[in-house]
Amino acid sequence: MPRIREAAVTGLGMLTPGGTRPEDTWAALCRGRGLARHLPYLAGLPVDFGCTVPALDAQAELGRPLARRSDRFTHLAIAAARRAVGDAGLAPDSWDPDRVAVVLGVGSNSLTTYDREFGLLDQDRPTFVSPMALPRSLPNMVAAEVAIDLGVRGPVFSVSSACASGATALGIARDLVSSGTCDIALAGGSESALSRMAVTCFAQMRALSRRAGDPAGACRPFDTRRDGLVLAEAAAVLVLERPDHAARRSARVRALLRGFGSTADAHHPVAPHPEGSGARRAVLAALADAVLTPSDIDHVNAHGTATPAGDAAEAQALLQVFDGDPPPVTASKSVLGHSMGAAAAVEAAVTVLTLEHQLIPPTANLIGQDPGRELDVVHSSPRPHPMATGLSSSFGFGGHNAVLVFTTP
Amino acid sequence: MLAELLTDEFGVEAEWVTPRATFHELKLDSLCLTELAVIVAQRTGLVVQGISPQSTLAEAVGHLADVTSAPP
Repeated sequence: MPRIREAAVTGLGMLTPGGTRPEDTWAALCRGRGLARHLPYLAGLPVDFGCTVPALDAQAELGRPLARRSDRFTHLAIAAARRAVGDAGLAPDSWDPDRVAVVLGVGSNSLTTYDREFGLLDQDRPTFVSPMALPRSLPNMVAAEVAIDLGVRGPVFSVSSACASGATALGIARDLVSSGTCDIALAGGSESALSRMAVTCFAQMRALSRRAGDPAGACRPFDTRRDGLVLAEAAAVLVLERPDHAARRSARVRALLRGFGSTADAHHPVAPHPEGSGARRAVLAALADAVLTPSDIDHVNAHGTATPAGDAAEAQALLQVFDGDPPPVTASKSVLGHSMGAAAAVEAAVTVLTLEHQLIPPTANLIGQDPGRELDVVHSSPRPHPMATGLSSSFGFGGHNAVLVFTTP
Repeated sequence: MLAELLTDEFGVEAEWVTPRATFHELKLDSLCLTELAVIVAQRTGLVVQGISPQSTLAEAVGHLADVTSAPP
């Protein structure tokens, strides 16, 4: 009998365009309306709308010294990690810091600081470039600052697999915990890639929806009229522990992370394999890791970015894996937007919430699907559905595929 | 200007900003002081050197005065 490597999810912290608490995000998902809006500071750019996290006053929550020495993607990560630790009933002053890990997914270094500092260099003023430019921007600093904030001294690092980063981080953290390398892992992802530079870069790749007249209706996963993704910012951190460790301290177990599959397309820098072969292999790998079969899966939280090629490849992969009859699907980006390195972690947390509520949130903006690639995508209203398992899939630029399998406790 | 920088930019409590306080006591390490020097240069064009975490605010103000009054 293959060994099942499970990690208990004992805490959640999420800051998304739906709000700064998991219940706020869940409520927004159940309402099923896109949260994108015009962002005044993007005026004049080819795309001027996206999804932002409301009501996070970094100075008030983190204190001015920490807020000023780090960029927003770090602010979000620290806030999410603190919430997750609190939700797990843990306290940094009572854990063994050498036995705690932090593994966070980040798609990019921070482009906010770089925008400003590159400008100074461009103006031939190199001596005015801030000494904090790198500490504020480097992708590892997201994990490092969380570790500093919470006093974590075990394995600490950021991982990057583009839009799959958060899932990759959770999978690696699951392995660290189940192998006994650490007892507790704070794992997830964080991203705030909504600077003028970041938005322009994505727009120039033709990756973004141009539906400026209807930002809330712009992100349309699996819809025949989809035209690209909508950028967002977010952070999500899950607390993972070995089940025996959680049981010893009588922790509430919200779900079990049981399977992780990671593959690469080896195909193209930004386009997915057209037949979804890498995605299909990642799903099968996650199922094998979980010692489950496709028929055991009750729900799929899809990557669903609303790009024409991406959704087509994902639908193809799901139809193949599930022999033409996949379980009910939701695509959270239709409401929350695409938060890049954080997205997979956000959707992992949403999958946990879905299993807890036994309710599948609707996918916004879906009217009709591609002929021959129709999935059972929940839309219009939340669907009650008995579920013991949920699969969350994420695929990133560069052909990274990461799939997670969660089960009820 | 220095007091305003410390409170507004670096979040130092106003009551801690006294002539005899050291930057170390105000929790400004060498990286922060490097940043402080860059901000001073941006706002005044003055290049400030020779300030360490063990310097007092009075010494730092003295350095600024020296640079301001130095012949071109």
